[in-house]
Amino acid sequence: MKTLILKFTAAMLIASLAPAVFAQSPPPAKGLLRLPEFAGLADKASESVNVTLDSRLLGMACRFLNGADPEQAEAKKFCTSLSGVFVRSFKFDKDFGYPKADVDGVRRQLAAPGWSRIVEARSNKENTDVDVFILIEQDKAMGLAIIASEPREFTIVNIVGKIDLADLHNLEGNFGVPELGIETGKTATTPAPKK
Amino acid sequence: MTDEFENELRRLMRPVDAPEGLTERIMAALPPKAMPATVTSIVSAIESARSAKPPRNYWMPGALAASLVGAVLLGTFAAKKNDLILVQREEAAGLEARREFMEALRVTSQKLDLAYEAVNAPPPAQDEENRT
Repeated sequence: MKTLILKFTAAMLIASLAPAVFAQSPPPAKGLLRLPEFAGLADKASESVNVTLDSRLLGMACRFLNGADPEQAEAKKFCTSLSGVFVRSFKFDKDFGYPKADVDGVRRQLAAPGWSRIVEARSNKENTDVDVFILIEQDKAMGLAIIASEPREFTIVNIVGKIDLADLHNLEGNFGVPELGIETGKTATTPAPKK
Repeated sequence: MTDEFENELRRLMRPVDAPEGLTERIMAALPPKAMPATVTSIVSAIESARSAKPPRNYWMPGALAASLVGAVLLGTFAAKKNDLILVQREEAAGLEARREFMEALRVTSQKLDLAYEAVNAPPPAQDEENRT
């Protein structure tokens, strides 16, 4: 009888803990990349930017953006539809002071279905690679990724959430965002010159 | 024999003065003051006990009220201070998040600019650049 009670108690305990265990691993948000830790890289870098804004922090950032300021108002409009902004950027004093394999690993994640490369720039002269990807789902941009690698610098930007291309278009000219010719409803690409 | 006995008896029973200091010694030996015992009937004792009011300590409700008011004031003060700390922390976190968001936009714009330059740069004479 005692054994039966113990078994029953154990079963109830496991059953009560099961939802908590499953709740700890929610499915990753669409458009969210698994960025490497780049542990210790900030110590080696001459400059580093590490931004991790999940939906909660992003919400706080949005609240503190001043809507009266035209620049911040555009940013606020852009910000409210997002659920995450992640930036890893490192500058070094010597060439390739960073693990290129990690950057390539992130690049490989963007080969997953849904991601489309809208800009690909390769400069053999300056050894610079810049890729801009966008995750399209049901004709809506749900994520943006930029991977820029240079000999002494690399940057990974991952913007997660419903990205209104019109808002991104409105940001052009603000914050130094160049006029990329981003148009709503279609991605802007430039044909590659023939070798 | 009988006369002799009677005479002796008379002699012994004659009034004599008390020894000196006897009165003082007797008075000193007595208890200080014997209180007369009061006898009360049980019925009247019960009635008097029922009718008797407990001694009133007026300071106790006052102290309780003061403690209560003090606790309420202290609690309100602590809650307000806690709220203030939370608001300050949230404000600091919000400002930091805003700074990070603006920084992220700055970096994003820099890299978009780099992509823009690479895409719009005139093609070199040799096949050095490959743009899509």
